[in-house]
Amino acid sequence: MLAYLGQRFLTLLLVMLVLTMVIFGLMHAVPGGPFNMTQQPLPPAAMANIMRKYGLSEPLWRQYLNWLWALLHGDLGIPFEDPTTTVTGLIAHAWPITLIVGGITIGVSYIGGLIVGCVSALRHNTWIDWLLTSVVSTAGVALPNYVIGFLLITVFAVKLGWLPAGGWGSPADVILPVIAFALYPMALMARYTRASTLEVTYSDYVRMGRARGLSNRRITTRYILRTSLIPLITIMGPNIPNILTGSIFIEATFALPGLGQYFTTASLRRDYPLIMALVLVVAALWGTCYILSDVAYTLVDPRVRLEGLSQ
Amino acid sequence: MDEPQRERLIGETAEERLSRMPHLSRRGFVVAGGAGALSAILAACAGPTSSGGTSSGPTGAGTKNAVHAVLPNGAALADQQYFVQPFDSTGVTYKALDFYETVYSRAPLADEFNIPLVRLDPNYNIVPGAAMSWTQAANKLSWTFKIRPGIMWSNGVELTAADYIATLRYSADPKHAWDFTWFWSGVIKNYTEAVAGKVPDTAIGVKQGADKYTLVIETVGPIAFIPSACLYTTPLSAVALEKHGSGLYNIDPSTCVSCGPYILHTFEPTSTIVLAPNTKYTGPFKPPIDYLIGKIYNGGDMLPRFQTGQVDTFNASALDLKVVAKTPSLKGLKVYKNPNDFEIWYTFFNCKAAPFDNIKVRQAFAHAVNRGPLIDSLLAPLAIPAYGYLMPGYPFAVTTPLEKYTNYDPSLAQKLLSEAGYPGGKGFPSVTFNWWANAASNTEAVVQALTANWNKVLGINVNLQEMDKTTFYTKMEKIPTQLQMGFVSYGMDYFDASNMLSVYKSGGRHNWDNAQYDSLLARGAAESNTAERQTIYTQAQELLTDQAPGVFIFHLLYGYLYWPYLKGQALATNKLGYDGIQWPGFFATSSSLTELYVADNVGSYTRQNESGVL
Repeated sequence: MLAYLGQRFLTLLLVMLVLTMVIFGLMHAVPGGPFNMTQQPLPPAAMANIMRKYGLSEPLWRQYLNWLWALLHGDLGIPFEDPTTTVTGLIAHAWPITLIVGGITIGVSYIGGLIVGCVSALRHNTWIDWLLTSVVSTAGVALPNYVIGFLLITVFAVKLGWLPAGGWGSPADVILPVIAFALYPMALMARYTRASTLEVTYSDYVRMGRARGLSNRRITTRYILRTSLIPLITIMGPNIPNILTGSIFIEATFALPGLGQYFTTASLRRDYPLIMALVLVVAALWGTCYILSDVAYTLVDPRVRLEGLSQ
Repeated sequence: MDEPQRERLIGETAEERLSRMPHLSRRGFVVAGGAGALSAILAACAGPTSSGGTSSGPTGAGTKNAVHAVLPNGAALADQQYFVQPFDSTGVTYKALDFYETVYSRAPLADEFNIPLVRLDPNYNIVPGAAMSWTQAANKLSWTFKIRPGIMWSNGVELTAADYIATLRYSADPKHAWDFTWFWSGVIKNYTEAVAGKVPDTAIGVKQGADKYTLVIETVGPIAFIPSACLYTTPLSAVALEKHGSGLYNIDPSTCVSCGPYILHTFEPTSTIVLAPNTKYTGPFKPPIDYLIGKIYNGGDMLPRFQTGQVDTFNASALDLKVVAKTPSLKGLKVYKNPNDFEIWYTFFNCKAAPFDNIKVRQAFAHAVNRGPLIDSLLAPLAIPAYGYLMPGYPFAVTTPLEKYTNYDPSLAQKLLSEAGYPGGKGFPSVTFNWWANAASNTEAVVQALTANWNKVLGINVNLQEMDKTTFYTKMEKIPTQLQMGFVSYGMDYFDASNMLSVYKSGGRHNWDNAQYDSLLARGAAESNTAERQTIYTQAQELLTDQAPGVFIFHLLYGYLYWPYLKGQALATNKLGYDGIQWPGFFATSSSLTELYVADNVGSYTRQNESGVL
């Protein structure tokens, strides 16, 4: 197991290195730089002063090596968006907010999705199944989260006045963003859980268990649910980095000062150091989640052996 | 507002609600009880709000606030004297709180820690700020400002000419790399050279006069608009600048130095900026509002934030106003409208390449825009047609003489296109019309309408291409420009025609070079006689509109809603018929700062309690 993990994480590091080169080249290939949004064109001397100040007057390869060297020393640079802090400081400030909302969203959506999916499957073709499938699953997948967000704000903040329309600082600020954010992954989870559970429910070994007189409860918990969980890991794993890196729509709708907004603003503002740092965060998170998903397979399915795979 | 009134606002009385209540079954009772409990929990989570009674509450009239301003009649108590403004940070960055640190990345509530030489009143007149008076030298090559004595910085040092000198020198320092150097380039003597590193920044034409209260600004030639441009002489403290090496000392509450009525309390540029009263303030302009709170949102809908009392005001779009008009609790609110920075939205052309190097093609495009219906259907009531580059009300702006150059006349447009060699649009190359999305001016719909109309009237093929703003500006400002035609805006920097009209100066933003126009601008800038300046700038506007290097489409108006507890002359209608807080906004550069207060009816409205923020 350790050898397998070592190999996978080493590969991830190499992937990240190549990725930084590609992204560095791409972001400099896009027209415009971080200081090109002035109303009137700056005099060339003034623009040269700015480029020199931010280290952008050097050749591209040297800029990349400078960045890489700083990275190896734990320095992600200074964001153009906010030169009074460091990229590390900015991420450390914004990410916890995203992690709190994202963490609760994962909990709510995964547990909720599993429950909804299982209940739908176990009450297959009943009104409960219809209600859960059509209302929760379909609406959750079909409605964009910002639409849900505006609906929630209109009902719970504007009409009822129960919850704040947005902002960050009190526990109540988490409730509406989590509901809006969780509906899609919950619906996704519910649909896959339902399909997977139904498939297992009608499999031969479950029928055999019933024939042997095992109780419904034992069959459901021991044989159906555990087995139906295996394909869900494929869904759950990749969704985690998506949620933990935030959503610009959710953050904009609910005025959360989280990390999600920077994925868009850093690109639009050509904030090179921040773009590079975010790419590293996303790559590391995605890579780690995929590796952990593979490990999780071995825990729920005894037939899977990582050593075998790595060979 | 009394209780029955409040109930009518929400649609029904308590008796009506009671009479509608059904008889509850046991299950219904449990469900209702559960819902009630959930409501109670949620309401408890929602945090404190001040939801008031109906009549005037306790008054603070006659009492003094933290900066010793006497609160006017009808004002609320001092603890309610805070003003919460929302700011949308989409597409912008907030790095500093001072104009001379950065212009394009200034945070909300910037430029409150100082007093500029001059200020603007609601009628856009230049009025004294830190300077009591100003005069131009007999040779017209310098201006002298007399600074009022006794204004103290919060670090105990007096505000003098030295602060303005140090600040302007800092702006020209190549190491500082200020992002707005064009503002003083070609205006202050030796400024351009200092920015290029050819002379030290100490050589720029900003000097102390006869005493420490006298500031002399030497210009590159006779320049009449210096007092207007001096609206942006918002100084940093020379002592603090020397100590810290940059103006960033003002984004840290522990190092902030202010000679204005406010000082930094909180700087969280992604969420909240709070300015507290500067209790050491000794200046003449004392605002009734004690605390300024800037709430920063990266997008999202501002209307619910206003409705729920999170903010005291907001800049409403045309769509917002339609929603407001249909919302019972809001439709009684007055909508304030003003031109803010006198913004124009226009289509520019690459005038040095076919087909737009032909003046008749450009004129054909100008006459093929039907501004009235376009504005009525897409932008009303927050826009007016633009027949020239300057908005009515802006200094030296004219409209009537320009209409003949740019009025909607499809026959004339077709005739001009035919004379250009494209009868009925035949042979006219396919052109790309570039734009970037801006929600306030509804650009997406406007460019589609313009394109459809050009294609229909002229029989040509104009294609739309959207870009992100950075790419758009980069391509537009390349020499030669990389955009055939595009849709863009410009808002004024200072209140004088020399500013807005300079956009079309040769070598400026667009690639239209016209020596006659340049000459008119130079003469207008140098001329001191107002009537003569009007004549010169009228000629310049006629020339610009006739030559049609761009087609001017509309001037944007800004719509504002304020909760009725905000009162004062700052919101009154000015001589042009505009109301609400006028440009440059609620800042030290504006007289509105001292003319707004929270009234004693504040308790009648739901307003978020900001004691946690303060």
